[in-house]
Amino acid sequence: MTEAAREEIRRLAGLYEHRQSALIPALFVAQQEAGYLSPAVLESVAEVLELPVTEVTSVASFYGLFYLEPVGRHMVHVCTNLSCMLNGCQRLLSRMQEVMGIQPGETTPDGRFSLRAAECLGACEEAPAVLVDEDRWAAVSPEGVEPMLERYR
Amino acid sequence: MAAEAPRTAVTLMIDGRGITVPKGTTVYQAARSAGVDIPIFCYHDRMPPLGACRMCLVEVQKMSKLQTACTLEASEGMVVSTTSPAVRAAQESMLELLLINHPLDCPICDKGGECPLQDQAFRYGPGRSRFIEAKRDHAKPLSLGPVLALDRERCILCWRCVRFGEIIAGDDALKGFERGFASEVGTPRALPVESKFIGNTIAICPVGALTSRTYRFRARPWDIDPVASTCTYCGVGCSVWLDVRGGEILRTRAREEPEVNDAWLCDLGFFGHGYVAAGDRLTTPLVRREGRLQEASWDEALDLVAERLRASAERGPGRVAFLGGRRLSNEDASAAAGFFRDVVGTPHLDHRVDAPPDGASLGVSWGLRSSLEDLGRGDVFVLVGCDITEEYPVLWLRIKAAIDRGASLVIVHAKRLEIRRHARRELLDRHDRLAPLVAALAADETVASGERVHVLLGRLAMDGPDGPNLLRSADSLVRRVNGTLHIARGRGNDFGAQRFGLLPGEGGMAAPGILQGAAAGAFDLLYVAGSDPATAVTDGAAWESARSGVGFLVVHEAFLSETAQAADVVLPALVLPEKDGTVTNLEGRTLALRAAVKGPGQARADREIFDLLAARMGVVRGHDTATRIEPVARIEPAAAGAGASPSLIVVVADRLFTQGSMAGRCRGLIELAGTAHCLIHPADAARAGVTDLGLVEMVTEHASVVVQARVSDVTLPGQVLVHRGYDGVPVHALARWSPAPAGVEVRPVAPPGGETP
Repeated sequence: MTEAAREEIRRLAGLYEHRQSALIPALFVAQQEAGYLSPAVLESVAEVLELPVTEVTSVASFYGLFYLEPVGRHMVHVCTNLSCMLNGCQRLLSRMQEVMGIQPGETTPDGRFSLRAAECLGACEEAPAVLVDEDRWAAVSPEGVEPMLERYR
Repeated sequence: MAAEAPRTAVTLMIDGRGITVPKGTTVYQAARSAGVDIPIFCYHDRMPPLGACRMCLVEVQKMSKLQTACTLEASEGMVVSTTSPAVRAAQESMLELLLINHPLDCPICDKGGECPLQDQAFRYGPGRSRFIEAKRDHAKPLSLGPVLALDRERCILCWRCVRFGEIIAGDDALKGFERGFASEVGTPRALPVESKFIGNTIAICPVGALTSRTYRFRARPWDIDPVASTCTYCGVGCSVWLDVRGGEILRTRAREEPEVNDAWLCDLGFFGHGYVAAGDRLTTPLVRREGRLQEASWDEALDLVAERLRASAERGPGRVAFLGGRRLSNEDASAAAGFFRDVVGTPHLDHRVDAPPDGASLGVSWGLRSSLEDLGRGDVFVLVGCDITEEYPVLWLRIKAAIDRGASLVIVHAKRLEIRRHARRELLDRHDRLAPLVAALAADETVASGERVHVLLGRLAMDGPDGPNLLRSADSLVRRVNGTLHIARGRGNDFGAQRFGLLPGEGGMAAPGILQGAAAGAFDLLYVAGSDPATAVTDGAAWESARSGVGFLVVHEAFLSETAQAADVVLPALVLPEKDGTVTNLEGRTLALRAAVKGPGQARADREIFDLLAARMGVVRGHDTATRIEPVARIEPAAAGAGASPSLIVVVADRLFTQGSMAGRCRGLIELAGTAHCLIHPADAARAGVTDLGLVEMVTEHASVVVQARVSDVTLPGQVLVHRGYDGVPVHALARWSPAPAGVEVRPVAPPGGETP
């Protein structure tokens, strides 16, 4: 982890009364820099926040948006919860698989995309929803998949 | 808690009975106090309630839903039912749900017969399951280090083990991972668990998810006879159950003793009984003939010892010395002291075998100056050179609880302690520069404003190059803040040895003096019991020359220790779990030992051996009264400062898990101890070309030893820490008694056949 990331985590820790409170934002800082939260990265976060590495790993493993394994440059989440399912997310997901040539949970051989089936993305009013990195895409049709992915190199 | 009168009481009805309890009591506690049984899994009375398992649901009038009794505070006029049809139905449902994924492999589960889940499924369960789908399937068991096995299929996610690490031990050893259906407890990536208290999680697991790798499949609870006794490793004196089957101790468990260990043990205690049944116990006396130790009868051996003692007496008084006591019971210590003072007639006795002549250890009596309970009520704790979790682990639990109630911890040490996260302040410096840090503490706001300040001075501080100064600084600190100075020094039954007279009498020499005297030919006979000076004396050469300067060496031992190997007569001794008697813990409390098993072969209790010898010397001894000697704390002025300090010094530190004569014969503990290693700071390692986990040679002007290096900032620049207690690695040979720190050079050792850089 770079000194800049460490410094940012220390800054975050200073915002709260308890060091634990800064853990989730700190994990995002670390993940943004390293791509995913490897054991070594988790240890660095624990060291900077002076928290047990067991606790840091436990929290990281709880949330779907923290990646404990290597992932592609862009992470594509397709919501498969109720509203999105009723609005055809299965066809959308199939199209994604076809275009990327991978199954949910996998990464394209060129390391460009990782695909995940997600639980609720909190966008039921615009189902079916897709989250690419930090961009939320609404009412995506199977036909819209290719132009959408084109934007991410 | 019970002693305090309730300021306000509330009366509630539970199952039609009126119960009055102090305000703040939970419904569960109120029911329990009235003898009403409410089933629980997640609740444990040493931890705050959680309400996770939902097993304790009760019906409360005027409350629309069933309530968890463990989290619900009793209030005036509350009407509670623990047996209503709705409660019964909820209990059945909870058990049906808990059992969905539980493998019900009770016939091969170690917990069977002492399992809350089994008992409650029998008593409250539905007796059937509607679940026809496949159960959760995990590889089993998952090994989490040398002593702990985890069966994730059996786990009901009550979180007791996780919370024990967070709340009681403060080591956060086990955690929950993943989420929802995939949730499981464990360690990151199933790495070996890092804890000194993990045995407790096995004890409080309400199912068979956490089991002991050393006890797995060894016995059933109805096959074992529990013997109430006391752990004799570190000196805290934890109450234990020794579970015996077929003449062997198979398991050690904590026995509740609120004033000492509460409900807990450390892992040295939990897994430390294996040495008793070790195959290499001494079973007959050994006598040196033609240069070799050979088996002999008790009569031959005792006659020979008695003859040598008489011969010495004829040459004059005081030509016999005694060393040892740590591994003796109070009764053994008292018999030894009486025998040497009154029958042999020598004042040269000392149990403080590992104390150097110029430190602070010989000038003060060892132990706490208050009870453990009083110590636990402190509001400021200052640990000076005391590595509490390595030296007195269960004492740490008391300090941890005090910290959670608002007390402050200040650490002064030459090492980053594993509990540093819990400290309010950490003052670190090299081993030979600690005294000024203590002196400066008087200006520390927290320490100065503390009302009940407890300063624990440890071995590393007292026996270090600046020991006398540190003792004086610590003493003046507690005087200024009206605190208490504890001498956190001594292990096993050192405290009983001290109390029952294994200390120099009038004109007698202390242990270092005895060794120096022996080297100079002042003694005809040196007698050792309950100690292994060859590995314990902190100056390796002092023991060597003492041995060669003394004509005759007698040793009581359970194993052929290094001292025993050099002896002229070795008498096979029982170990403490084989004896009835008492020991004294570090607060001076007398604790009972019960013989759990018979000793091997012809081994005898030390006390009996002294009695047999006394009879041969014409004295028949009884043991109604023990000589009580309470040395008074004396604080001597510090010795003049030493000369120039070397750039890299060696410090011999303590470790909980070692490979000494007892722990080194216990399955599980051997692996926890691992290989002997030294800790070297990254800066020094880089300078010396030392890599992490590589072999290094530590060279002093006196000796060299080869150990593994761990490159770590747990130690400080300019200082290499190496652990004592690995009997194969004579770290004490590295240094000589001296008030100056010992310089050391560390060189990487190329692996045999390896490439030359």
